This record gives sequence, structure tokens and C-alpha cells, in this order.
Amino acid sequence: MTDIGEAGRALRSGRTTSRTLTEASLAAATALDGELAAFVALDPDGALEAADDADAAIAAGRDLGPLMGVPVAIKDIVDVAGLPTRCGSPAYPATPAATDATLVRRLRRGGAVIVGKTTTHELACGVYSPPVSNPWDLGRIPGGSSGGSGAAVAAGIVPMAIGSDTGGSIRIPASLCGTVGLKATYGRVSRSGVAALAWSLDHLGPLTSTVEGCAASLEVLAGSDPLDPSASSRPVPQYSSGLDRGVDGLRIGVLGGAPLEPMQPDVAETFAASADLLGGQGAAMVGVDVPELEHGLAVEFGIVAPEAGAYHRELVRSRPDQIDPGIRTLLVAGLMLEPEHYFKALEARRAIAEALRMAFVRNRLDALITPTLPATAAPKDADDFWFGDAAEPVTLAYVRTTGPFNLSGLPALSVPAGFDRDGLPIGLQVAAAPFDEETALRVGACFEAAAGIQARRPPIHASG
Amino acid sequence: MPVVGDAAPGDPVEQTAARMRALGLDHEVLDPAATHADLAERIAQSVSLDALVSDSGGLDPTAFDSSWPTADTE
Repeated sequence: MTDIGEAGRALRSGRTTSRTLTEASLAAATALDGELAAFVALDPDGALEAADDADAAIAAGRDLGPLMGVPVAIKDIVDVAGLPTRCGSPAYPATPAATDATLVRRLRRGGAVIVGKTTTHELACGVYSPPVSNPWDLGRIPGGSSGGSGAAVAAGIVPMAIGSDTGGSIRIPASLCGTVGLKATYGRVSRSGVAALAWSLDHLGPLTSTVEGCAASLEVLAGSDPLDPSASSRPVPQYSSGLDRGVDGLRIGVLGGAPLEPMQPDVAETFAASADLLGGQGAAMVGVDVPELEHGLAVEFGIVAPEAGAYHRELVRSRPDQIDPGIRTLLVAGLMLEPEHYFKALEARRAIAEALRMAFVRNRLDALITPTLPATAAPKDADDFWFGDAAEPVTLAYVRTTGPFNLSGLPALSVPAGFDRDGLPIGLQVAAAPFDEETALRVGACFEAAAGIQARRPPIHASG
Repeated sequence: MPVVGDAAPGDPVEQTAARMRALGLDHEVLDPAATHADLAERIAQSVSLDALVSDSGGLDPTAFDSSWPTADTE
């Protein structure tokens, strides 16, 4: 059972039990681990105990929410009491975390069953997530840094896994693995108990098999937190309730120009078809250019380097040999650069956020769509994409379409949109105004229903 | 051109190495020459942002402008 809504209905009608779902999830995680390497730790005892608690609650007529009894997984930069938080790094200790992160507490309170922790790219700083494989093609990367979460959901091991997103780390694996992924508004989901990469860009959120499951997950995850001053105290809407409203009457921007070009032809074709599909559902589609986004990568890495360098400074000083050389270079730069460069990047970030706001205001937009990424899943050994005669590093190519929504803090959803000529997934990104996740999810749900591709499963899947 | 604000004369790579030592970054896997080249590239990226920041205003990533429209408010 690979969907939260379907699992919830089956649990409440007595057609299955949380123990049955959890045992199947644990079995699939184990059976597929040799091919996918999506998990770094499983917690069968804790998961089955939580499953039995959920079954008892259901039997007693209690309803803890949409994730009650549903198996989920947590990216291994998030503290889960009793399990180590290794951050994909040999430098992090195997000592179990003493307490749960706030979002884990929320999940437990909502009756979710945590089956284990998923593989992350080292220090949540990269898009390859080795040794994880993409369920659609084992020779391809799953994306990152939440690569294990993307692979686990795409392969049907769990219907939801937590990811983090500093420059695209939820939406990149969602797009490459063919799942839904949501980076909610900055501050919508607490970051307390989660290792940072760059605190002013870090977001948490779910990767799920459906938009309905994504909405249900956000209802559980979102909310204020005294342990995280950046967590918003705005009320949390019932995100699931408006998913069937369609897009008739909405104005949806279609981003062009920077930062989309260059992109693979199959991606361009799918993006154009996606815009047509939404237009056919009644939305007014409006072409939008935001030239300031050309600077997005310079701003993104101008902020990530000093914030990540500061966060990891003791590690860089004491054990730099235990850090991947590429990440090490970034962290050292962050410690070496004069503060003026960081402050300039923060100012430039504000300019980009304002440019996006003005694009919404001037065009009276409800949402803005882009291809989630300009390319599909890269081979594991590829350093660059080739767009015609021009090479571009894989990491930069992916982050240039997702990063602007970390800089602006806007909610951004990735939803499966199609497949390239090699059968690899292509994602559609739907951004909306601050704290208007409802509209992003509403557009995503309409698109998902109209596109009708969510039933297509990868060759490596729990269903065999 | 000095890379990290050190006005002392001499080999720029040695200046970078001196700054690395001062910051406790003198481990054998940390290469001053490579660091110097990387910093120069990042500073060039930073310079490219000059035109963007002239009138950008505040710095707070949580300070969303209240004039944002939404589907429910329009």
C-alpha cells in the first residue's frame, strides 16, 4: 500500500492493520536494500510497537489524524530518539539521539509509524546521495540530498519520507524519482532537532506518492515551535480539504528565460505540455520572466558557504580529512571569505525575493510553474550535463531551477509530470505565495489527476 | 590581488596559507593554492551581484511582505 490516503481508508475500515502495513514496509526495505541502499537504519522493534499502539487506538475509536498507523521514514539529518543521526558523514558519532526532533514528535503524536532513517548525501550538501540508486534505473542517481527518501517513496517502501531542502534537496529527488515533494514556506515546518546546512535557507518537508498524501503530511508537520524561533505561529489549514477545487479561475505564471535555460528537449516538451494541460483545466496561463533569477546560483552559494562553514567549523578544523573534498572546499571557503560577501549575498537574496513577489503582483498570479529540474536523473558517474556543446555541472544544473524558492522562502511543490525518452521521471514545480501551500497543492492535485501518470511504477518496487 | 583582505605584500597563495593558519585551517588535506583559486572564483561571483543589491533593502528571510496576493484573498 503506497499511498497515505489509501492506507488511512483501509485502516479505518478494518481492511488492514498498521502492523500489517509496517511489516510489509520493513520487509520491502530489507528486500530492496541491496539494490537501492535507501535506508541507513531500520527500527523494527520501535516500529512494530508504534504500529500496535496505532491499531489499539483505531480499535478504541480514536483518530489521531491522517498519518495514524502509516509507516514513514526520516532523513538521517533529523533526530529520532534511540537512533543515531549520522548526516551521511563518517565524522558524526553513532551515539543515539536522546530526543526527537520537533517534527518527529509531531509525527509520533499523529500516530505515524517510523520504520527507519533514510540515506542522505553527506552533510545534506549534494545531489548524488551515494550509494543510493534510482528505482527507475539503478545506474542513475536518485537526486539529493534527500536521495534515500526519494528512492524509498518511489519504490513503495513507505508512502511518505521526510526530506530537507536548502537548494532543492526535497524537490530534486522527488523529480528524479517520480514522487511528490513539498518544500513549504520558510518557517512552516520546525527545524528544531535537525542538523543544519544553511539555516536561513533550510526547509523541512515530505516526499510522498501522491499530492493528497503530501497535503495530509503537511497538516501533521506544520505549526509553531518554541524550540525554533523561525517557526511560524500562523494557523495550520486543513490542506487536504481544498484539493478537489480544480484550477478554473486561477492565474498561473509560466516561467521562462533564466534560470530554465538550457534544458533537455524532453523536459522542455513535457513542461509545455504541462502548461497546456493546466490551461485546459481552466487556468489562465501567463508567461513570466524574472531576469534577476539569472543570479540565483551565485546568491545561493554565497549564502550556503558561510552558513555551512560556520555550522561545521569545528569539524573542518579538527577532522577535514573526514569530509568529502568538494564539500570541504565549500566549507573552507565559507570560513575564509570576508563577511561583506555574505552580507551582499543576503541583500541579493532580498532582491530576488522581491522580483518574484513583483512577478506575482504585477501578473496577479496565484501560482508559478517551472520544470522542477532542467534535466532528468544523471548517470551515477556523470560530473556534467551536456546541453549541446556546453557542459554544466550536474549539481548546478539541478539547483538553478529549485534554489530561487529557497532564496525567496516561497512554498514549492514538485509533482510528476511525465517521462523522458529513457523512461526517467520529469517533474513539474508549482510555487505559490508565502504560506499559500493550499494553492500549490490545489494546482498539483488538479495536475496530478489530469496527467494520470501516478499509477506508473518503477522497475524496482515493493509490489514486485 | 589580495583575496581575503590581507594587505600584506607577497605571494597571494602564501597570504591565503597564512590566513588559513590563523583560522586553524592548517591540516594537510587543506591546500592553500586550491583554496586561493576557489576563493578568487567565489569573490568574482560575489562581484557579479553588485548590480542586484543596489536597492534591495532588508535581510530577514522571514519578513514576507503583507501585500502578497493569494487565491483566497483576491
